[in-house]
Amino acid sequence: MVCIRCNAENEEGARFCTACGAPQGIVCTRCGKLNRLEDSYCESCGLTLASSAQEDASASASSLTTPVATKQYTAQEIEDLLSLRKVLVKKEDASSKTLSQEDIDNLFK
Amino acid sequence: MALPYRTLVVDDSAHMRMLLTKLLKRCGFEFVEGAENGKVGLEKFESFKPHVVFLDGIMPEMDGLTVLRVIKSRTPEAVVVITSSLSEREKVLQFKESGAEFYLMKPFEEAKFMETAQKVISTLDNRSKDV
Repeated sequence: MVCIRCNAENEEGARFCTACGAPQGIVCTRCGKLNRLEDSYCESCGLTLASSAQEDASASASSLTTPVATKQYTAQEIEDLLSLRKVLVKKEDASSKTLSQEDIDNLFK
Repeated sequence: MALPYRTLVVDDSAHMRMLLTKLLKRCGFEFVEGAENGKVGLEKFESFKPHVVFLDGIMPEMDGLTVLRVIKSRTPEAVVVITSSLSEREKVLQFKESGAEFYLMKPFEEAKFMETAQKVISTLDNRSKDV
């Protein structure tokens, strides 16, 4: 059988795709029986297969091609962040600096 | 020529106390006492009433910074020379802000010690003129 999400070849009756992990049908929440996508009731126990389960399966199938939302920074924001980093690094260097005797003499003048 | 100034050397290293005492006597400081830690140093400061203190930065019992702050709160006119291997800017600044007049970083060369000792003598001379 072919995976409904990634089209990989799986053994007949496989509950999940061995390539992408997608469920191959609707798993009954009561007895765990794997039903076909078009089934409305569980073949084993008769439980109504919730439509949400079908939606989950569809969402799972499409997730490979849906881009993940990420924050987009403007050029100005990137510039500001880089400037801030420079200031912080400089400040850290100044506070952790070790002094020579000459530096100390100048400090104590 | 013997100087009229009393000097206290506070350092947990016996070798350093001996070395500083020897160098101080070579500069003319006749009256030199030693203390092996900060606590004893403060006791001797009260009894000996030194004009100048050579104070180690890191010591058991009480560290140099604490001793310095006590000395300066009781006798601000006492000249304090920190002798320490601490070289971090923040640490050195703490000693300066707490009132130390000089800071001699260990290990030091004899010439540098002599230069600092001359500055100490000038400071003491100027202060005694003002009194």
